[in-house]
Amino acid sequence: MDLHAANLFKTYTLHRKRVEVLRGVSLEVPSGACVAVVGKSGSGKSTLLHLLGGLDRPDKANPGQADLGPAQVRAGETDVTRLRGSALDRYRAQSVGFVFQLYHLLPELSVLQNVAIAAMVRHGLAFGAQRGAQMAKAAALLTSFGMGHRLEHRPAELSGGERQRVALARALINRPPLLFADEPTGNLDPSTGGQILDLLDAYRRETGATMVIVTHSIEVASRADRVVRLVDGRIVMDQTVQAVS
Amino acid sequence: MRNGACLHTSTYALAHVYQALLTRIYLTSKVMPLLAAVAVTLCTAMVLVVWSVMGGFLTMLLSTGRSMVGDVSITWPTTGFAHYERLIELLEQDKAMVLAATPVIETLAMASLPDDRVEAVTVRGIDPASYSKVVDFDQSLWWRPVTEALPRDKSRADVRLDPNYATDLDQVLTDGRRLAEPDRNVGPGALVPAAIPGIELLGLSTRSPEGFYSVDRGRVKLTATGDVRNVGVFAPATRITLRVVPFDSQGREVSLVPGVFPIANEFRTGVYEVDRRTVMVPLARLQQMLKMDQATIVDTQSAENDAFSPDAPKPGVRIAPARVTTVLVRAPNGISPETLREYCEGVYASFAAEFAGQVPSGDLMARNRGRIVRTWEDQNATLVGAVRKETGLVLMLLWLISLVASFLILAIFWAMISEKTKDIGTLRAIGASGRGIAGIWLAYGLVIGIIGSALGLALASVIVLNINPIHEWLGSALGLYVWDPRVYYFATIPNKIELHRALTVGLCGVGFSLLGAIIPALRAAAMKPVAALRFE
Repeated sequence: MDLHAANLFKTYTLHRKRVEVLRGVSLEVPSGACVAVVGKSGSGKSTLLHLLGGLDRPDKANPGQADLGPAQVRAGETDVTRLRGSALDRYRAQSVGFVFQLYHLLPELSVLQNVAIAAMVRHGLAFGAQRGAQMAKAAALLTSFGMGHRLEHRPAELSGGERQRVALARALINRPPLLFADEPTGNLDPSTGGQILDLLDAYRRETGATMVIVTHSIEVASRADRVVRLVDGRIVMDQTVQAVS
Repeated sequence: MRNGACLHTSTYALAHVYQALLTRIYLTSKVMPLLAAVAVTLCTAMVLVVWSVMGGFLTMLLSTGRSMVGDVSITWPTTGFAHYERLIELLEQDKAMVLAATPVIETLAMASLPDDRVEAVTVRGIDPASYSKVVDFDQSLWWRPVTEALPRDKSRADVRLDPNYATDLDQVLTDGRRLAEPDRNVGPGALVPAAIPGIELLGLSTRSPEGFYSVDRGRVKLTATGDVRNVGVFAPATRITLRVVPFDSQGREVSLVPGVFPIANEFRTGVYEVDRRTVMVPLARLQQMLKMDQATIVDTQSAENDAFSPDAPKPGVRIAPARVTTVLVRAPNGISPETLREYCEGVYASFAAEFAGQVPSGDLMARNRGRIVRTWEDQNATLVGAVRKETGLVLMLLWLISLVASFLILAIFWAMISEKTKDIGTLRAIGASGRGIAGIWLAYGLVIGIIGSALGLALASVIVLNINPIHEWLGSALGLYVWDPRVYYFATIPNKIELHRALTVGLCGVGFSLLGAIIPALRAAAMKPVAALRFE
């Protein structure tokens, strides 16, 4: 699924002050490609990811940029910016997988439950009829990630790397065509981070998913097809990894 | 891996959707919401206990009335009305509407009691045979031989159980049923009219915590050693003097008339005020005392003026028929007192037309609707109305207090949602809808309400069904007697739970719990995913 973003602006009001986080970002990601978004803290990387994944909405009006077109995010044939309510929820459940820096696992659920809950959300009441198959699928995915012996454990009982594997399994259980990872190795040592990236790459090769990774790390960025640099909410560089090298 | 998956399959028996999973997990992993369930339990129990007791008091009041005065009374106080036998005959013509009717006189009297007290009492003159068909007269007679002890009389201390007294008690029961005692002065077969006071009037019998009456005081006696002791006197061995004021048919006072009655038995209705201030005597004897019996009236004036004139008209002689103040009527089961009242009003109209000028007219009855032909509820409208209003007011206050449980749930859920903000963001990120998020908390509130209400109903049942032993224990252990029969009309606290009340309170408990969960649920649903994920 290809990804198209155009004229994205985003402003937040913090402590009565307006903070412009994105200032007219446009981005094209072909289907199956992997794009790394780099930049300093506060450059708008995570905000861009949230807009692409439908977690947030770009500003409607373009402040002072009347010659630019309206803000738009399109995933395949779907205009994400026009989605509302349950349609937007469905988009996130069916088409998007998110991996966060801080894992965001549900602490009261077991490892298996944390992964299965994404399938529950995706399938709704139909999950009941497919319960056995879905649970087996979740268990198999976790096993393939080396977590088969920890299915009943709680997140608090896991290491950082193990938690990120679980978060990754949750993001991939529904086999989304779009994968967004926000600093997926930010809290991990290089070796463990490398393992997570390997899993991401393997998924992309297997499914042809389109991936956008936000990272501070050059090593992580170098594993992508393209690198996009954001500075003060604007794209200042968008080149292939070979060209950057 | 396969075993692990199978292990967890059963865990998801109810987790067809993620709301059910999270509701179950939160319910079993968090303590504070269980405290909210305790609040719902206590509020539910409190409302149901109070409603059962106060509502039960009203129910007892209305049903006891039927057992004491039937369903409807037709009353013309003080002077009474004549030809009551004909009225009863007309009433009893329709057996589908009237089971039985009985004539009664009710008047005030001063009673000189065996312990030299003088009390104002209500005297009721009755015809025992017909009276028993309308009210539970026979069952109310207390002194009788019994074989089964009262439920709380575990040691069988009730004197009525003693086979040594069976013969005497049998005689006392017989005398009570006929309101007469053998007249030993006259000889075998002769009877003298007797009285039956309420068991709380004479003060010779005291009620034990087990419910029976013991004869342990009555007369002060000087012993051989010079001590002063209170010795027991059995009420049926004593006498009572009643002084009544008769009125003629024009309502004019005649004179104070005393009557001495041996006491045949004592009655107990369970209504303290009635048991404390009522005495029953034979109708015929009371009619005599009140000059309401049949009498021959001679017109003495014309007799004096024309005594020696052979052509003078004969002196006027007429029969003044006997009068009663009240006719009590009882309907078969299934006929409401209100329906019977309408029927009695119609019958009375015909009766008044037949005896026009001799009995209060139908017009008078119509102008005094609700005051002459009355149900028990009409007669006690002030009390019944006050109890109803009081019950309604107390229930309203308790429902308001129950809102505290709602606010407690609101506060607890609000705090939980603040704690779970990141999790809510995570759920939104993986595609959960705002409505689905709200559903978790509403389901949580619903489950807490169901658990709390169920426990509350169970707790209320235990309290209400055992409320009298609990009250007696409080009295004996802590000296705390809350239910004073002299104030609350009945000797025992109502101890029944009506199904419709339990269902109403249970459903409202669930409702209040859901009410408390609504605002937090809406808050959770309205959270923006990004803000929630970034929440610190």
